[in-house]
Amino acid sequence: VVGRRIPSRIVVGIACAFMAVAVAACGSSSSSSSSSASSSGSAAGAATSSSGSGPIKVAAIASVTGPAPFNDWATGATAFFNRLNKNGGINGHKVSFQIVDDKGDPTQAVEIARRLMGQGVVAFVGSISLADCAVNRNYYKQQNIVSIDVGSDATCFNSPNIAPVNSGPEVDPLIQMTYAAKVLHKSKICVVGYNVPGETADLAAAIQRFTSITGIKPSLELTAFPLNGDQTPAIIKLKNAGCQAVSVSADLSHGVPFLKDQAAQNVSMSQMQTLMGQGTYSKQFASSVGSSGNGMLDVLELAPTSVPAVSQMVSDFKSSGIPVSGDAETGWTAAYVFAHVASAIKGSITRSSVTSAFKSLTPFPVPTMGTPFSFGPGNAHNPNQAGWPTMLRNGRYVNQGGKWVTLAGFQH
Amino acid sequence: MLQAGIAGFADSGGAYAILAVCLILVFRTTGVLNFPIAAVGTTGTFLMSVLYGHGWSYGPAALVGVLGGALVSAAFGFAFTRWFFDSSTAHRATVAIALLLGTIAVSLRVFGDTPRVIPNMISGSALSVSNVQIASSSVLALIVALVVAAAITQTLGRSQTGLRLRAISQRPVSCELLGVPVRRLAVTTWATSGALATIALLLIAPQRSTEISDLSFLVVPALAAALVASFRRYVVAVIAAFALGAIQGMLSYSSTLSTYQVVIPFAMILVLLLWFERREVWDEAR
Repeated sequence: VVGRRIPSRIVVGIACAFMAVAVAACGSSSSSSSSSASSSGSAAGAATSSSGSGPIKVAAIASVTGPAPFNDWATGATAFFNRLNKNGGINGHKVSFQIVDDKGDPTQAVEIARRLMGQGVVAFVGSISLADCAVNRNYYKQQNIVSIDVGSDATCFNSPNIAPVNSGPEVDPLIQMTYAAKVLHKSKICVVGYNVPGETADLAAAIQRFTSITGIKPSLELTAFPLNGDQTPAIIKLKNAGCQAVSVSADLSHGVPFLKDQAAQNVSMSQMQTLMGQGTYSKQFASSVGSSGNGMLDVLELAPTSVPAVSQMVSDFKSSGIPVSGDAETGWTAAYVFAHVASAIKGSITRSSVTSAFKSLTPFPVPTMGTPFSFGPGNAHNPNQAGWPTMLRNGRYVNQGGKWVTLAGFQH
Repeated sequence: MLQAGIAGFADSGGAYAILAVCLILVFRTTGVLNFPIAAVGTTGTFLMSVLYGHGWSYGPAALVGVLGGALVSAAFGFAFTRWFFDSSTAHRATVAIALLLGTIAVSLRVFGDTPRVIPNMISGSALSVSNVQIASSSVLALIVALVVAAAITQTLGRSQTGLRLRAISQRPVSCELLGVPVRRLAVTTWATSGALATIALLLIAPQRSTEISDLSFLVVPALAAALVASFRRYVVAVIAAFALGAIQGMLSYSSTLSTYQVVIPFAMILVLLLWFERREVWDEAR
């Protein structure tokens, strides 16, 4: 008989089971990497002495799931460490690397940091989290541990123990806007940012610095546009404001509809030059956006994967089966920086010796960065002050000028 | 702001309207608030995307996606008719919410959480209104919404099947005892709603963030539109859905109010529920 009644406890039980599945699937995808090999070799090219026993433990706290997921960013570090371990690790010690998903949840970020510290990590490498910097930076200072991360908000760039490898949500749009003004010679420049916690303030700071460098005030500032809505109203507003260039702080999920809506409204790139950043640098983005993306300028925070300087990174990704993308490049860069510094340590590679090495670090070049990586004793770190302009053409990113543009260069 | 309103009306209204019609259809015939409707449509759309990514042409891939959406929805309908048909409203709503979360979770596991390539069903713009280009897919969504609303109104109001469906919604057990194929009709209704929801998502997804959770929660504005129509009048729901799209578009245009754009459907639902319940509260107070 249809509608046969079943006990209410079973109904509730089934509902709870589904909830549990949902909650489980919405997060907790942590992965780890600790490959093994026998031959000795170099980290970032250097291998000297080491002492102690067991692997060097490092970890990334990543918002792999959650409101603004950073999928596949930290996996670049996995690729780097896989190759490093195959070549003997750092000073004869393998690197045990794990990525733990905090789901963008501050409570989980706090708990994960303490758990990983308890497991003996000597540094955080390649973290990319919506919450980590804000909730853990004081803890990292207290515990004397460093984090070489991918900064997602201002707190990552204003901590004595954290140094991001990316230019970040302030410098990235600042370089885009300044490039539009100084290189493209556009005078009516506009800005679009999405309603992501922390990013609105970063964008406001970028606009202030842009005006101070160029003397131009943006014609339109949409600094907290809704994340999930239709983007056509923004396009119409930009068009009506007469914007000649627009810097859009977008990732793949927002960059694609933005460019599609721009094309749908017949706003050509010659009428309004759209500039985006590292978050929209991937084969998937190029394929998703199709011909709507033709002419979009992508000013990259890290070197494009097509330049010879990063061939080792591309090789690492291919060996580890990781898609070659700008996202994964961030994790790889953080791992490179850590390995370079750790391999120069004389004696045991411990939390204390690693932190000490970073605090006394002499800036050094990194193949994926346009300015040297620095750390030092300061209370704020933002070593990446450069961008590499590319233009999207028929699904390919074509280099524009073939060299870095730097904030220092713009200011001279 | 008028231009933004037109853009919101055209770009969002059609999909909201189709989903709202699906919600009313299932509620009127089975008494279930179909919370997973947009999630089911998203599943069908992502299935299309996977096939498209494997080199299928759009037509066959979309057809399989629509059938996939219909199949998932039919499975949910079967579960409801088998185990929850005469359960209390609270139980059915709980199960529907669980199915929404379960569908999102399973979709994330199956399709991953990386945004996908969702090509346009029809590319290009159909017309220009007040200097705003209206996409062909938006016009198609408008036509589909109106045709579906009219067809369902006619079917339920004038045909033998419609009479049976209306009877099932009132007295399911009596209908079955009278020989009406209750389960088959109910499952067919769920399957139809799943297919329509997939069509709605295929139309709107190329213009939106293609994250599973974002698309699955398009059910919220659809619920608001269905509530305006008291879960009864399909054409009213369609009008409300387009109005909601226009309001959201206009709010997006305002730098100050754009942040609150996503709150509008929730606010509408809250206000309407308070309005509908005003007499009961008053009566109880007396």
